[in-house]
Amino acid sequence: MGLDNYARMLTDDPHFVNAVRVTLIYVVFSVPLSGAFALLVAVLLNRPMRGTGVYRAAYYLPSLLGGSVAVAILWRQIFGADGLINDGLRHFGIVGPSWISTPQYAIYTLIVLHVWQFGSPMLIFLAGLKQIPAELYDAAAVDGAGRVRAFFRVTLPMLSPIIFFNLVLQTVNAFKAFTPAFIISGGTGGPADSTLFYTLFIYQEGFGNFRMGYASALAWVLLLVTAAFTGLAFRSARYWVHYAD
Amino acid sequence: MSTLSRRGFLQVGAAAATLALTGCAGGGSSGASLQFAWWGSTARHTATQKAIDAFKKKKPGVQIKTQFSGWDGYWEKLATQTAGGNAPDVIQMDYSYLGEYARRGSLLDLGPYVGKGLDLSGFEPDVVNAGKINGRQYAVNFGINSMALIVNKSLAAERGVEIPGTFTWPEYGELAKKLAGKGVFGTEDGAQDGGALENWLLERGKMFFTPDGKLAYDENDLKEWFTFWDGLRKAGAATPPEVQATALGDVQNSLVATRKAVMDFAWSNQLTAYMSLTKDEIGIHTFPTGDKPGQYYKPSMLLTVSAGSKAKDDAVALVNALVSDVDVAAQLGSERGIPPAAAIRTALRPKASPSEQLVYGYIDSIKDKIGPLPPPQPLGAGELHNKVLMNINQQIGFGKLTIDQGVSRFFEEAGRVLK
Repeated sequence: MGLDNYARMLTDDPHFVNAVRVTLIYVVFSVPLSGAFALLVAVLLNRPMRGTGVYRAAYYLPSLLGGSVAVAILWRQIFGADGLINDGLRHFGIVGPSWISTPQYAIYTLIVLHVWQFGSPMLIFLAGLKQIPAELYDAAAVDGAGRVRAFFRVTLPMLSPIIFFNLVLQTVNAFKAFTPAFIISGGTGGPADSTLFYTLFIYQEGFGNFRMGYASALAWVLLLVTAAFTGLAFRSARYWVHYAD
Repeated sequence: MSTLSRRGFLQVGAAAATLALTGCAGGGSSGASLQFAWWGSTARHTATQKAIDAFKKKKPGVQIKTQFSGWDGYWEKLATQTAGGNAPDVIQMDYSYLGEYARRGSLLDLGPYVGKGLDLSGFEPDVVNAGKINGRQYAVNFGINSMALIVNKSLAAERGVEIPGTFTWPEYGELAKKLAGKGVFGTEDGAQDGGALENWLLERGKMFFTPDGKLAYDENDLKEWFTFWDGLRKAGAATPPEVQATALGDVQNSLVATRKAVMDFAWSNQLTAYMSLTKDEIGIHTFPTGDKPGQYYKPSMLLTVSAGSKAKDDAVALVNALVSDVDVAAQLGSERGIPPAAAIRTALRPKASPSEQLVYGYIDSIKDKIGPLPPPQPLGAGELHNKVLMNINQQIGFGKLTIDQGVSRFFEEAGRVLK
């Protein structure tokens, strides 16, 4: 009985294949994008200016709201056929599709939602940036490095432990994302399974169709895959993460 | 930063566990506390709350805790509670899930209470029998409805199209083509609507399930059904998949309410909800007709009592009051469907709102055109004709599967889902 679940998963369940595909797309796009975006905003907010506190709070706000049901519903409206995005496009004479209910775009609206919630990695980056000694930048400037060069040669290497930390955390989070897909698709993972996140699939099988055995088997696979990805990240760390000691 | 020692942490944890334990014991011993769960819209929640208040006045001392939500999520929650052994005492049930819960042994057989605390004397025999599975009275009818085509008459008038009194399925397709235009579609995509498919099958002398729970239609039926709707989608008469996918869950997202389609497949008791969502004139019609009757009187909802209830007598008393006690049942109006008890109908009909009057008139008008209630459905039926049908129709609509592939996928999944 037990092993049958795994056999069925791998050989005889189109929904499983699809859920894996959707989840991998989500992880592969949303983790680097939201990481890069968080770093960009952190670098901008790290510069001394008036009202920094207000800006930081403002940019952190989406993360507080992002996981909530209200924002997912808002997203449905913004990316709907008559939503905000298409209203904007109409000014340029473009008639946009209903992003949220067209299979080839629906998953990307969820990725945008994830990128928009860059607040917590941003805060961690910001804290990391503060730790980089100013004399390193002075030394770089003396050696004739410009701003861009200093960013790639000083900031990034010094920040690599923080980047690593965020990478691991965000990957795990992306694998277990549930709320946005659940709310936006009304729990169906639709249209045509295009937002059927792996966690949503587990939920449907376990609590919707009441196949607890199959759902548990699915959950084990998720655990193992997440562990494998995390392990891979740790393995790769020795090649690019620099600890200044 | 942490001032809490490991021992301190354990002590706090132990104290919390003790509290939780005593909390459980306290909950179990007070027999007169009932949990009552239902799904519905805001109007239903308010009305049901009023009915509960009226019941409490008659039976002081009974505590009633309510759990209400939309249709989305209701079945997931109920399945989880049932598995965990803490199902609500009184459960609002849908006909497509009744067989499943009864066969799992989760529901109380109400037979011994009939005539002794549960008064079903004002019910027609068919209406009483609709709550029986294998001859046992597991459920009480909580409202009568039937399939109904909801028509946005204002949109039809803008097109200058008259909606005829009755029409066959091919005529329905032609009507939808005439109604379509200017970003509005003639009909929603009915291919994914279980009610529409069942109606179409019944008119051809078939049905969803045999009495022993096997599928009672074949690949050719489903292929013809999908082909009919594919034609309408391609002709611009039925909504394309990306529009149809926005009509999720409850009536407020339906395409007639959002003015995307002129006609929706629905249930007669939903007319009130449709009318409250739009200023347009909304009408109610029978589904397209065929050789045999395709519609029937359905229990729109049923009331059941959990087999594990610790206060069975009180739970039955609440069920009885909700369907047969004029003072309590009158608070509910006709929003859940036509009340099954004759006395309640007589009391309510004169006071019914204009939309409810339309529903009463509609249910009366189809009296001679309906067939018998199909047998209760097997385990997994709710999933098959709600979720699987919709998913496969979307795959066909978006061009991910051909009709033939969709049909064979449907029967594959049916084999897996039905138990």
